[in-house]
Amino acid sequence: MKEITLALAKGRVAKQTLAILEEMSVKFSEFTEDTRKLVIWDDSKKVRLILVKAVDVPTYVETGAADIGIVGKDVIMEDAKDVYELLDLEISRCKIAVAGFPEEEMEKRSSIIVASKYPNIAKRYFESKGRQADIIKLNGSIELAPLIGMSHVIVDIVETGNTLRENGLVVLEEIAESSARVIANKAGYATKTEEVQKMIKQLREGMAKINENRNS
Amino acid sequence: MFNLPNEKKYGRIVQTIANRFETYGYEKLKVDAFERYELYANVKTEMNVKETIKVTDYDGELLVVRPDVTLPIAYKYAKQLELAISPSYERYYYVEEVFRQSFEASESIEKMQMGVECFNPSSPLIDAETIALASHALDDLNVTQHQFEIGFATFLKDLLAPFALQEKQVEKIESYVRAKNMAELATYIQTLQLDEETANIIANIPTYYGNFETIAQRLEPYASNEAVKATLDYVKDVNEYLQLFGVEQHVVFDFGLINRMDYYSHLIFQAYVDGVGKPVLMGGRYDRLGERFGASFPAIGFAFDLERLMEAVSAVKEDSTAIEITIITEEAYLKEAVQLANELRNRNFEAVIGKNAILETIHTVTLGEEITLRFNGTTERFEQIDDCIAYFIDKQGAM
Repeated sequence: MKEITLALAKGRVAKQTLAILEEMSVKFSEFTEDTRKLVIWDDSKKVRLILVKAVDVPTYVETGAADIGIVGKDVIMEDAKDVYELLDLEISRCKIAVAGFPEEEMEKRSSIIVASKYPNIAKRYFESKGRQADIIKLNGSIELAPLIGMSHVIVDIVETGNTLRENGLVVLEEIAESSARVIANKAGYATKTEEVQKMIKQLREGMAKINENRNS
Repeated sequence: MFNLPNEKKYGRIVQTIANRFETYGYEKLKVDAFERYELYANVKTEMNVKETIKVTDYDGELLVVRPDVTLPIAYKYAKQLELAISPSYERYYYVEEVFRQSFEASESIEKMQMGVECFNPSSPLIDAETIALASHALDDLNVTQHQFEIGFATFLKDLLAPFALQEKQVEKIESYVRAKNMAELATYIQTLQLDEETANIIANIPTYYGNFETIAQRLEPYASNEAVKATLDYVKDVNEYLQLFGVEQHVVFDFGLINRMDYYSHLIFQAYVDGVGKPVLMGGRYDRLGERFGASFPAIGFAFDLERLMEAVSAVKEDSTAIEITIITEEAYLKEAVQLANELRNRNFEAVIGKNAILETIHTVTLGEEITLRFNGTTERFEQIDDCIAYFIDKQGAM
């Protein structure tokens, strides 16, 4: 068997993915939540885990630095890469939405100013609606933009809606659903077919087991 | 494009592939650097016309700097047929830069491509031979771990043809198939008015991946569908010939393979090697492309991406940059040194004359009052230059 490299977004996705793999007896004993290690081997030395920033996962996979990656659909939609998208892991569920003040009436504006970490998703969405939009790209604290009058609305991911509520904002329109997806490099899929398919199978079955445990 | 130490390796790769192409009857062809803009604007290819680099000539006509090689060769071939000049060869190869400006800053504008175009009558045998040639060339480069993915360009389009879908809908299906995204593919095709059988085939396209027999078995129940049957019949023959050429261990079939070049008409393929994240080779049959230039001819071709191939070759075998023979001499013996170098070069040895042994070298001949040869820690002495030459000829014979 050839070894394969798995790229995970640091944080919750990594933790939940490793829980799924543990169900299938693929263990990473060296992994701890506060680990500073960026490369970790599984106990049987068959799977190399690399922990990277979420937005970089598709890049690692597209270039072949990693054979498989796990990352939110929001990141894939924002930065479309030439990779396989093989499985929906159904973790890290959230919505990508347009949010703003409850009294915001977007359709009454001739041009709408949108702040977002996802400029491509925002641009595509407003184009598909036939609305004129100016997009401002921000990297964090997106909710701040309408509060200080920098933008009319924001496009961001919404999980519980708590952050929005605390800042007096509401979801105005939903764009898409997001959850963690398993992506794969096309070359790795061809040259390490057996190993890649085995990993996908382990993720699928591990996911099913966890869901079963939760329901029983 | 490359740093200097890589140039030598690059040269060796090109030479190795060229030799192999020639043993299959291919003749080298030079392609013009500038082409009329219309040639590219009217054919949908994997590259966007926006990516081409444009210049104007003195008449103000728009030209592009060659972004692709297949199109100009096919165009030239079509014009030749039109003029009823029978082309002297039907198999061509080329080594050319292609120029495209990519949105990705990391991609370089200039890329080296090396490939073949074969204008022999279309047949599964020629298709298999073309793939076997590419595999053979990779073996020559010691890139023995390579994998071809073979698909059929029109499989999906043929399946969808009876349903009058909009172009956008077809593109959406293609994007899911290209990503092997089964979950979203299944959800999406439910929203379209397809019959159950076709919907079933399409939903499972991402799983039609692997050896031909297994795929054929699974598609057998759908053989009443003409698109399925025609593709299976054709690919079956190709598969048999691939076995005949002995390359079946390097081949998987992928009925979900989609190439962005819309001129491919039948078989398409690409090759991956260990350690390189993108295909090192792409190709396919394009029997319909000639029609856009007012001619009709069969054609199949492929191109290696030499930069990517460089990565693969370095991963397999590091090349020595050492000089074969260095001749160290002083002013008084320069005449003899040149004579020796000439004699050796005439016999195809690599020889360099120097005053000091600064070059990394395999053999060092010191030419002065006496002639000595140092090689691999041993020293030999020769009375005359002829004896030294005889030594090398002997060695060459033994190799």
